[in-house]
Amino acid sequence: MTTDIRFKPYFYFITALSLCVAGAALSFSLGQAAIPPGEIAGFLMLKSQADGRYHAILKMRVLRMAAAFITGAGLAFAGVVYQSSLKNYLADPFMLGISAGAALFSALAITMKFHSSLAISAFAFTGAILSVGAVMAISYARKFSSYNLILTGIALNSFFSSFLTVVMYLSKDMQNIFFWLMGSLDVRYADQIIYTYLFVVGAACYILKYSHILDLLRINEKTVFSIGVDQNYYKIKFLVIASLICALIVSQTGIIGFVGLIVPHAARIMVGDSHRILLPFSFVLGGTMLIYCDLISRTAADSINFPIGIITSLVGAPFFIFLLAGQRKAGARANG
Amino acid sequence: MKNSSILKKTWRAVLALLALSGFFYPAFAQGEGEALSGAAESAISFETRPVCIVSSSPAVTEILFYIGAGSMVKGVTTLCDYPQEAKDIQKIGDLNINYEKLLEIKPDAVFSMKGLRANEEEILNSFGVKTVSLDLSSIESIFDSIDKAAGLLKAPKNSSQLRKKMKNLSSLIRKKQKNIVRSVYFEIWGDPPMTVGGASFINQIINAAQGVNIFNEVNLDNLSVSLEKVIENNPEFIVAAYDAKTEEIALRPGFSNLIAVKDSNIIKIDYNIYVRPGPRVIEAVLDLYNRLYPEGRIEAEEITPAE
Repeated sequence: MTTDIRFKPYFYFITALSLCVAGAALSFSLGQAAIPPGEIAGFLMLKSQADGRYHAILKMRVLRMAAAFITGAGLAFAGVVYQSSLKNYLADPFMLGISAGAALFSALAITMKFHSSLAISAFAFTGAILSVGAVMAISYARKFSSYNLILTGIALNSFFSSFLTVVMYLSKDMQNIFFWLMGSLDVRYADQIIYTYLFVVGAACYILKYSHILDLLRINEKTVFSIGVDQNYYKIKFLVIASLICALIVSQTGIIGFVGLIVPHAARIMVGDSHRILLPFSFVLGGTMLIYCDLISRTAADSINFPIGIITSLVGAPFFIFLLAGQRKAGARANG
Repeated sequence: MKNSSILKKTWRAVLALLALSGFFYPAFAQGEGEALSGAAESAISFETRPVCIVSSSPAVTEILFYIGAGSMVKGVTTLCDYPQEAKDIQKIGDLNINYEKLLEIKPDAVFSMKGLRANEEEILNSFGVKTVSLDLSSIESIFDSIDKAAGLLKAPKNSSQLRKKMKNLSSLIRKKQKNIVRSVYFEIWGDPPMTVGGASFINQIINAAQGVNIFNEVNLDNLSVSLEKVIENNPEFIVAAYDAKTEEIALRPGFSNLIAVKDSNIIKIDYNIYVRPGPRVIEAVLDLYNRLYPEGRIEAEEITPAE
């Protein structure tokens, strides 16, 4: 059965891609507004329509779906990079302070009456970058190691979140800050999405070029050193790029947890540890997962959108536990 | 085998606990209900006229000042910013009450808004402080509560003027806009888009201003809303109750076809008077009406009853 191992990744890859396409089709045709199939066909054939409302809704669904995909894909991709660079399986894209920084700054923006969503995004992005920068600078000033980075990240994270609580507590906009923190894919503009795609896909391709170094970073440090790779250089480079991806996404969507932590693990279970396959697979799997979560969040109840962050954990956690259980059984079988 | 027996035991314990809690639940529920109604009854009578009271909500503070009992108010929350005089009164907390501060004042009674905090009355009663809970869930109940507070405190002013004003306003609106009801999408936050449902106080203001909330059939206070539904319902007005950029709302994907956007009917309002179920509720109704029907404007003087 040796052939299994070689074909398994491709099987999963094709499955994930087809699920993604199916999810996109579902996402496009289902929603709060009941749109007759004729209208959908008309939209796809680029026919113009007397009452523009259906077309407007369909256009909105396309934008939303695109936003959902890139959000999930970017977070999952960055999750893999974080876990491998930091050599820590519990690392997620929010570990180095991105979410806390973004949340704090957006809360400040909201408190200062910047209520336009673009302004809040700009603040959140600045906050995310500043906090990651601070974590890196602090740990670089001492002795740069994954261990140091993670501890600094945890400390700064909790400092920022306490500060956020203070801001929320003192602010008259507590409710609005809370809304932002729930995360949302609702209001997306076409050009915003295009720029996000360009950046995230570009950054992902760049890291993919160095996938062999990510493979190395995961193994023993001494071995890496003896091969002659300056691991700190690459570590910082990878972390900076992954952080930029996350900061860009978080600044637009708010905090959507779970995807960046769990999708990489699920992907590892399915296709193994080689980053040449793991990275693109996580990208597709994360995007697919978020398309489905978004579909659930906006169709589960009439007129209401559930916050996407709730759905990702609610749907993702059982699925992941199922995967873990399956893996244990398979392992037991192999051993026994 | 051992594991499974432990599991079984745990399972049995859980089941037993569930059964027990089910058994006691009605008893608990009943006890609570009785205690609450009992507290309300006892609070309504004062042997002597209270002179030192505390308000634990901004709307209640407005009511107490409106009826002319402002001088008796010795404690308010940090959120109480209207009228101006309220800002100088000793603070007893915000959404969370600082009970030490409150007890230090030694009030004759605490006036609170019904349903604002879960067990405020219970805690205060356990300290021996009398509580008066005002029901502010509807425009009518605001007026009733004003009368209740005025009666208890023997205050100079009751709700009669407000009632007259409200009546004048409603009949004037009905006279001016006989057959029109304008549809409204009331947004309290933009990203994620949040709106108010049929159970909210704002929904009543919208109705009173001869508008209809496009989400009034959703029986919730606030909801994170589906923009698809907004587009499908095609509101005539978009009301933003935060510092939104109206141009940004108009530019949202799919919004260009909305009547509200085509007619540039995206308006911003001062959220404070809309969310506070106090005596200024009529101002909110009038304000919203004038924005929805600029062609049939009603001035504040028109509804002020003749002395």
